[in-house]
Amino acid sequence: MSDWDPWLGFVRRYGPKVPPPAPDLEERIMAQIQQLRPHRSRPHWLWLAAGLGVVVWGSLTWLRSQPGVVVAESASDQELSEFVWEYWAALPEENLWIDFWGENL
Amino acid sequence: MVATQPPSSTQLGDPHGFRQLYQCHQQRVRAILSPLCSPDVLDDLVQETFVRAWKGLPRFRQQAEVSTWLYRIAWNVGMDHQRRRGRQRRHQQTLIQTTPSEHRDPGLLQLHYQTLVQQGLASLSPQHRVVLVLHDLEEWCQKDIATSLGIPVGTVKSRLFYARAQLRRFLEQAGIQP
Repeated sequence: MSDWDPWLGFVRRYGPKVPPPAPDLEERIMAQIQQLRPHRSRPHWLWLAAGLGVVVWGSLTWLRSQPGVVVAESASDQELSEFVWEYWAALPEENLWIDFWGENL
Repeated sequence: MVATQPPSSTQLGDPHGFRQLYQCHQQRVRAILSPLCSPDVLDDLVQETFVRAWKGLPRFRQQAEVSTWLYRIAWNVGMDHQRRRGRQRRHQQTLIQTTPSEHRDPGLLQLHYQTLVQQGLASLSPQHRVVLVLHDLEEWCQKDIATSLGIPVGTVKSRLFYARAQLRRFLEQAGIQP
């Protein structure tokens, strides 16, 4: 028996007890964690989107810088409109209605 | 009590797995924090511990035991609280010391003894107090305390020895004969 044993009983008897948790503590913690969830995933998506953007921009820049590559001029609305009308007008009438799978309706 | 099976490290990232982590370890987290704060803020510190753990999950190294990692966070949260509330705690101790030392009513006597033990514990440093409370009141083994607090077992033993001696001296000076 050590010198501490009589004191141990006293301290255990009158020492502080750990109070039980509040009934809603678990839900409070889970609610806070749910709120934090989007913030945890957002940076990954931001980095991914930014990375893809840089890759696309770099590829286009590199392609344009290659000798012999001519970048097509952008067509105006009027030119597009004229092209569509001329193209569709030239097609036979039975080919005008083609669905996505290439079948005539 | 709902399921208390410890979650695997891969399950920790989803709320269900994290809830299991809470259910498995909240009692021990409370035991670590309770000597470092007053009962009215204990729940807040437990919440802070688990939120810090959630935020720190991406940095969690899988080699370590998740319980060890969590208890270390609890210890840090408790010590941060000690630093923040140092001045206020001293004020509370002063208030406790005004409690009269002699009571004849058994209920009051019990309250008096409880106050004395609390005062004695409060007179210890946080490092010594936590070791004594976890070992002598919560009945943790020395190895668990060492792992949870990140200190060698030898340090646990020496802190326990010192804490017991100091608490005993405090109680003897207060006229307690066990």
